[in-house]
Amino acid sequence: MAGPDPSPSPSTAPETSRGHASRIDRLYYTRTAPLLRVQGRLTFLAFVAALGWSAWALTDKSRQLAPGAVVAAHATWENDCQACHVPLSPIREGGWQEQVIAGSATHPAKCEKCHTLASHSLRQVPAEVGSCSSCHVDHRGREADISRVADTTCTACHGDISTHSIAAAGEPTAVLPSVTRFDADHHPPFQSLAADPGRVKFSHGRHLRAGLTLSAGGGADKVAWTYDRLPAADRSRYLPAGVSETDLVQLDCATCHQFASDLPLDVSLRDLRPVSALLAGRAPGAIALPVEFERHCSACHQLPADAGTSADALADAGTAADTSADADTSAATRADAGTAADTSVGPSQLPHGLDAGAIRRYLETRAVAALHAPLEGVIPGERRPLPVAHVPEPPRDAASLDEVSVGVDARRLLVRGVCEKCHQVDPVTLAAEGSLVAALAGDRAPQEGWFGVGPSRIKVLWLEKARFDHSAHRSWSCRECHAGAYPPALPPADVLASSPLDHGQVLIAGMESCLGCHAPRQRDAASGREFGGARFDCVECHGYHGHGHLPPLPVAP
Amino acid sequence: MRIGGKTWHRDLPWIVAMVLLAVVASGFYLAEYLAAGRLPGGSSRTGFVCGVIAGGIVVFELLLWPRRRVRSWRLGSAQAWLRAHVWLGLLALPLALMHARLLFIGGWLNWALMALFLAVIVSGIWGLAVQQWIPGWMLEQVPAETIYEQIDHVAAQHCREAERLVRGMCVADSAEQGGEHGGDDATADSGDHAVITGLRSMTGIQGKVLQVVQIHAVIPGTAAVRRMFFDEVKPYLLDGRRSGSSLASRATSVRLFAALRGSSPTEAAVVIDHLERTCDIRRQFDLQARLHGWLHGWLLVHVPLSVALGVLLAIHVPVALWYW
Repeated sequence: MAGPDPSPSPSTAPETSRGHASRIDRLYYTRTAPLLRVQGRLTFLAFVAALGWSAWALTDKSRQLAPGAVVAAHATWENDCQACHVPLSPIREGGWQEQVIAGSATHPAKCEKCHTLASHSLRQVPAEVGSCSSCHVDHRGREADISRVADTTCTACHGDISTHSIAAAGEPTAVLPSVTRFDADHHPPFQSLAADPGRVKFSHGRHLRAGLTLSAGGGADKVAWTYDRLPAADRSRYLPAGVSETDLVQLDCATCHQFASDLPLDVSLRDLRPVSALLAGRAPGAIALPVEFERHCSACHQLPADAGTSADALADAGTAADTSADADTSAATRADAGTAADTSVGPSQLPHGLDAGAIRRYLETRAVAALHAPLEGVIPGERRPLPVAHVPEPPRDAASLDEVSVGVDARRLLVRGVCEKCHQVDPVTLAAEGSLVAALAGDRAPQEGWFGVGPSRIKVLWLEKARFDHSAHRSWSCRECHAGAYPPALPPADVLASSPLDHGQVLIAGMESCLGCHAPRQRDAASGREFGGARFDCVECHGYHGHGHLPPLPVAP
Repeated sequence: MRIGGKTWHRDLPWIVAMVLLAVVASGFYLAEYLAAGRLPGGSSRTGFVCGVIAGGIVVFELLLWPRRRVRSWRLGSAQAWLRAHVWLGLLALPLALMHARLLFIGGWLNWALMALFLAVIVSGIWGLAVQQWIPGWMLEQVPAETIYEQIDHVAAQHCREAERLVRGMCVADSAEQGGEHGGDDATADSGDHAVITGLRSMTGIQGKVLQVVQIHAVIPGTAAVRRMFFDEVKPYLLDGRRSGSSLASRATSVRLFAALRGSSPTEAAVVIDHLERTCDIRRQFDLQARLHGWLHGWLLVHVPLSVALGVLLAIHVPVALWYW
């Protein structure tokens, strides 16, 4: 049997062209390939899903459209975009859309519906005043601090302040130092600490010594202060726990520099001097309350208005005054006290804080009352006695008037000496009007020889352009920043020389005391000690608003 | 799109321009960052410009789809469109990142938009990468390559050719007369030849050729060949890997056909060789299908997400302008 030819060979009877053509599906392109079919379906699904998401987005703006949650204070308007935004208007300037879109502008008015803020500075270039949101960027989360703005928002101008400030009306253009960051090279020294304008003669060093004496075991008027010599009403405030009343009085910073947070709960606001608005706006422990004579000085420093004050009290007054005043002045006071002793009618304390006219009226009242001795203390408990309240019937005869005049003069000398212990006393000529004695004597001539006490000018707020919070620094000793206030470790005999009056000195350390912490974390090359790391951005200490005049409150429509 | 090689001179200007624009935009962005002290966002000068350009690029990228659907438009060559699509798409990435404050953004819509954008870019880069390697590899590994959509049609054609050869040259098993393997010889060639597909290699070029095999008479002792064809080869030729046939493995195929060759008369070699070659072509078709999936599968991600990106972008733009 013949087998087939095993080798393929070119056909002698090839297929027709139709046969060849049938090997290819000529209509394949009219059918959708499976891959394309799946792709088309997925595309349709994606399109529908995107449309659905878009519709959802328009109904849930706060989560979908907003770049983040607004701060908690603005959460009420979380889903009401137009509470802050104006459609088609940028909320902050700086974009080029301002030039592209006509009428496009910032709209701070929406912020000012709730926020009424003072301007930054009268020297600020008006055209450079940004909108609220140019610094305060919201939508950064509920807990974001939108008041903690970037340093560049400040250094944009303060980096070259001379070109970004104008002269205020009527003022010469001041040369202000530029600031680019907080360090010794790029930040000027604290100008608020340049000088102490205080006028009350005082020595922190002497007051911080045990017993508060100028010398150990001095004369009768220089007996060291022990707690039992303090008035009973004040003793508990000064006596530390576990200390005997016979121990020497030891004051510390907190004795006089109290904070609102340190005050006992039973202290009535009426007992406190009105606190300035600057203090009221700060945290309770941020700034020390003003030092007040009645609360912080009067326990030792009594103000005898009559030489009839007890000998002990007068001696105490003299001794205490010595701790704060010059020796010469102290001697004059004792001499005055001796002169006035002749007209003693009983103990009296001059209310603190009277002006010259009030002092005159008070002394005249005391002199008139002396004619009716014995007399109770004048208007006890009142710090600002009415000038003629409870005055006995005044004398009419010339002899009595002379006696009153002599009494007034004696008391005036005494009081002047007492005031001069601590205060700068200025001579004052008073008009006859208001004088009880002049009215009775028919004298209309101005009265010479009176005096007035100038303002103490004790600064309550030292860092005027910056914030400082004592409570945030409570872990540090006071000495870290106020070393100059402490007495040197010297024998008591040298205290006077080593602890001079310091009311003209600034006892607050400067910027260098801040830079130990408020700087980038770094290592000291010499000691190898690491330091820094606390915040040192501009807003850590400075605020932008509040140094100008407040605009009027908006009136609700 | 293949990058480099003969088209390098066309890609180079795009690359240079893209890098320059990205560097310039980054420079402006850095300067604004240093001046403002915080990352510029979408409403900043640089961020806004970057956003506008990136948005315009996205719109242009989406136009590739209608451009392909309407090939009759004379709007530049398809190659030029694809090249612009690739390079402008890559340029859009840094621009969009700067517009989006380097991803320090909030809002679900913004995140969805950015996630879609990144997914589209990544899928596009993936697609571009596979297009650099797979076509060349396919050229080497799949010399029998045919049009992807024609694979089943061509495989069926090959199956018919093989069946014609088997029916004309192999003995029908008597036990199988009337059975599924041989009872119906209607497909058997009534003539003296069969046209079959073969592979021919010439000077390094491989390709399919048509061959004619003369059929003189049935070869005795080839019932096993015929049985194997109907049991193993035909299902594999028709359905490929989906059939689950062991012929999908080249090693198994070689072993099976070697065994068949050993148990068959020498004259049957032409049939067995043809069946083995046809199975080899079918395996190439399987490989081609897999490579096709790699080569075009990324479009299942790229295209749908691009459309979703376009929709969300259409919402983002007016919303951003309304509340900027």
